[in-house]
Amino acid sequence: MPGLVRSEFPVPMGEAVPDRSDPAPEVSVVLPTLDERSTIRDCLDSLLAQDYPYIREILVVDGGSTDGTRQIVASAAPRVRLVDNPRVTAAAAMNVGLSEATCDLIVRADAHTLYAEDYISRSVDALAASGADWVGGRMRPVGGTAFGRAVAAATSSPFGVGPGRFHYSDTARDTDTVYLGTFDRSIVEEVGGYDEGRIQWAAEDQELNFRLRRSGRRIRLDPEVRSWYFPRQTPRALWSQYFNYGVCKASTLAKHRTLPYWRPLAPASMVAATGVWVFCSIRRRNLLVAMVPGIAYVAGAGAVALRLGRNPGVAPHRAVGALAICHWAYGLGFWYGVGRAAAGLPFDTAPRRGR
Amino acid sequence: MPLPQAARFGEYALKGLNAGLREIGQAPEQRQARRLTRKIKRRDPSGPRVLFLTPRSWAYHVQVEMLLATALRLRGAEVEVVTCGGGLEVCDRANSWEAPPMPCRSCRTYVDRSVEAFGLDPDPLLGREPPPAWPELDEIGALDLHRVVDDAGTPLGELVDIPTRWFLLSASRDSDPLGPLTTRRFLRSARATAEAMRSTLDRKRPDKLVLLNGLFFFESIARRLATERGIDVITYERGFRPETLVFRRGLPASHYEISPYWQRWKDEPLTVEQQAELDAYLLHRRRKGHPIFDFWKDAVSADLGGSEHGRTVCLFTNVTWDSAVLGREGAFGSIQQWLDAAIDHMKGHPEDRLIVRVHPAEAKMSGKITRESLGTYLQHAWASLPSNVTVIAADDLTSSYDLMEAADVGLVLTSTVGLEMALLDKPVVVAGETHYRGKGFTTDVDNPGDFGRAIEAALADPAALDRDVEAARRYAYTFFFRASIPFPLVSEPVPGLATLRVKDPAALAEGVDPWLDVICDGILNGGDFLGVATC
Repeated sequence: MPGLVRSEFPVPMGEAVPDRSDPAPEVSVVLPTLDERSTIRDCLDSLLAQDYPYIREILVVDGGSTDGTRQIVASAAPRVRLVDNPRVTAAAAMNVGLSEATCDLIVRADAHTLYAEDYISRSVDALAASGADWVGGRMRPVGGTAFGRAVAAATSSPFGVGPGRFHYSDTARDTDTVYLGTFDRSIVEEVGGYDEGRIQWAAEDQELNFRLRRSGRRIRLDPEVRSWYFPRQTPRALWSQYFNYGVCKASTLAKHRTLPYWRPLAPASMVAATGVWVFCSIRRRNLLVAMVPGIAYVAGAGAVALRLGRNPGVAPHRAVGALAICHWAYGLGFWYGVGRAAAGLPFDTAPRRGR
Repeated sequence: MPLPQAARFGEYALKGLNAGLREIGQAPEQRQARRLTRKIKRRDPSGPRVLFLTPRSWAYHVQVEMLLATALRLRGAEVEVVTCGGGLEVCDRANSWEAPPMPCRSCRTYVDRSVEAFGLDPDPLLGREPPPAWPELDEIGALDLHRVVDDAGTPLGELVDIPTRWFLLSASRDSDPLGPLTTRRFLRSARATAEAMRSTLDRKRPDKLVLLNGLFFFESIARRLATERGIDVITYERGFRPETLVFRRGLPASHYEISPYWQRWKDEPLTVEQQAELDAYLLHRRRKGHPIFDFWKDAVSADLGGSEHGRTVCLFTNVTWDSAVLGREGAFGSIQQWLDAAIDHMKGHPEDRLIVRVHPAEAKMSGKITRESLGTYLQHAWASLPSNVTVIAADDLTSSYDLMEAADVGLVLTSTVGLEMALLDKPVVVAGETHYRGKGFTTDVDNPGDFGRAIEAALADPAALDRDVEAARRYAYTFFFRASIPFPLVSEPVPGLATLRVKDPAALAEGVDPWLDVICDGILNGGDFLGVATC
């Protein structure tokens, strides 16, 4: 690297001398990766800078990155351990990580996320204080482009993503699912681990949380557990992501014959109702009536976007675009997934071209 | 993005119209420039080679630079103009509320058309091919990015430090989730810019380089590379008085450092006329406050409550990402540390009170709302503030001038408020590296210990601190008048738009406008850019 500085990883995590009279538990961090070169360094920096002294290991479980991710991770050894994930997916990575981890308490991490210095300590504290089985924080999206800011605003609003409290709640509460999480691995093993084979990729966390809740476990959202997530920064990438989320819900429905929560039905119903309305209107040759759902949607989304536009840096027209993509891609993805399930086709357990 | 305000619809309409006209090179100032250029009789250059760096579509600065370029050509200089050309991942043309993507196409169109309107050929630095990737940057940790140097040894990390924070509208780059991402974007852009700038300087070999501010993205790189090559670098900024400019040789004009001028006039009493001139200007400042943004338009008088308190100490913050502050925090590592230290000290003096006035620019600078609000910082850092500490938020309409008058002591980092308080004969404790530090009318501290001792002394007896209102007035006159040169040839009727006031090229010729002569003499012959002495 001519001209560049040598950049050591920060913070003497491994050099801290834990006071073992302290009852605080040791933790293993499990971080699935696949081609994360542009974000992995900052992600690891933020994990290595944690104020929690009892982090025994950070396991980066890599699905075969070819972009240099593995080299960056390897340079953080021995505090960070690179583990191969031959089955590629995030669900498989979590199962590999759980089997490799030497601690019972697991922190599930994500490479597109930066963690507050007290992320792990607050997670551990919240787990102990609440008596819950799984604790996670709010998903705090950070937009790095004009469209990314609109996506961040849309996905932090109940109007954008429905009542998924981990997107916007400011109060600690039990909930149905959270972003990432800290948990004892035994509870995951009890319900059979992450599902690698029957659900669409990226559905693993919410599907696991669904099984945990069905088995009587408590999922806890604590907004003081802070991390920052970089959402998709282009309309195309956002469309792909939300279409896949829709398929994820359909795959969960296909597996469990029920949904973990009613949220997916809102965009799915909107898409279905719009389709029926437009079809009927066109059959009656009334194009004006056929346009009514579109006009109504734009009016409604426009009103929400004006509200989102009060956030600095969020242009209302981009917010309308982000809302529309989230809703329509999700709804269409859901029906696409339902169609696949009805046709007996398997779901994609791994992304086709990276994640 | 704040919603449109009904009161500003006229401004929006004007800007919209102007944006459309810029697209076709027909903005009023561009048409005026063409009319002006048509009347100019060309003469062969015989003087120094002067290179202007005009990279962004900041209309006021583009027009100032092109007018100066024209005036220098009329004085025989060989003038060339370097523009950006576009295509960078990021620059400081916009900020993190607005970009990326950067508005390169409209920016380039305005700059190039404006330069051409003055009969000059814009020479773009970039834009011919996309900047090369720099994948190795992904391996550098966020805390080390400021140490990055490129293959030629240029300390890009250091040079993009201020522009990155300015872009982020936050000085706390290391704890900002957008910090590492943005810094890498700036470094990649800086690498491409530095490479192009080296090539341009070596090809053109100018004698003089004229550029804005000196600390911004393009300018910090150009200043560094030009200085390495022995080129005479002249920087300029807007003066504090309306329609004035400040010029510096070699140094960033934005630091407003006037020590050489002060040495010359520090012992010279002001005349009656000068006293009156200064008083009139200070009154204007009180009414308006800022050359561009009208902070005190709807200001209300401060009600500072009863007299149950002992001393009143007023602390005036800066905007954290202001280039006048970054790297000049002096006694403290950051504004936040300085604030904490002040509150900590006042906690031990419940009988006295501290009023923290958060800079109104945090909330009132349209399009530049801070991402690092000190009011929010105080809420988080001090779950419960001591009862004798009051915070006046950035959007509070309370006039800072009333606070200055009510205060027994002022605390500032680099704010000009410190100078204004000294002019009111108030003791001021200065913690930062500001231009009026060490001039004999403020108490300047070098470390947190001194800061604490100064507060203690002030609370015991404010009169014990250094004060010298006469020296402060002499300094203020030197600063506001002598060191800034009137330049009414370009105005900014609405922020972002520029008007050329020159109708006849003869107005730019040597010997017609004494202020313009001072500027041109400073650029071409090393004159001292004095706004008063020669006139």
